[in-house]
Amino acid sequence: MKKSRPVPVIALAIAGWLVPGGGYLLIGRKQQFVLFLLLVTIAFAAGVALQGGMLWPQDAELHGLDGFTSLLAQAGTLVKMLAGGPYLLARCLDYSQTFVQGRLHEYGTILLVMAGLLNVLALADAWELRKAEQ
Amino acid sequence: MSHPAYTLLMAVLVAGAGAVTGSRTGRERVYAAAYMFLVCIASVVAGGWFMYLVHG
Repeated sequence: MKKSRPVPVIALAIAGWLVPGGGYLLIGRKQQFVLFLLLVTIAFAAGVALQGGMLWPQDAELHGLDGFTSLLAQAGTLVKMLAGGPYLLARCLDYSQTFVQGRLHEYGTILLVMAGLLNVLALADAWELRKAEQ
Repeated sequence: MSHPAYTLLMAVLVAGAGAVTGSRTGRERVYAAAYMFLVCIASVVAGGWFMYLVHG
């Protein structure tokens, strides 16, 4: 049987970021793609429903926090961006809970962070599987 | 959303993600998901009791 061409890493990274679990789709693992798409979407949708904070924290919002805590708040915002498609969709639909508003809804904020982390997990696993299959 | 409901949601998400990764058979994924879900819940219960004993 002829071996198919390996998926370029850059395509894997872009697809994996834009579509949750998209890396799996590129390497032909449709079940894993569908499951991760569901998991990330559910986590993100629940985070939005609970009004989790998603915008970059402003200086005024970080006032009174020590440097490490401020850094964690900014890192958390970056991780939410890693959710990819759902994040972009929420921004396009003008979902704009600020950090301060979000602090009142910690559950939602944590779910948004989790959605980003799950997408990174899916991307890393698709990458590993691609390497193993080569 | 109540705290127990939120805990269950987080446990389901973590267990699901942990079970879906890697090269496994369907049966292995189900076992892995069930195991991770139970471990998550057991950890929360144990942590809750620990905090109760520490703080009263």
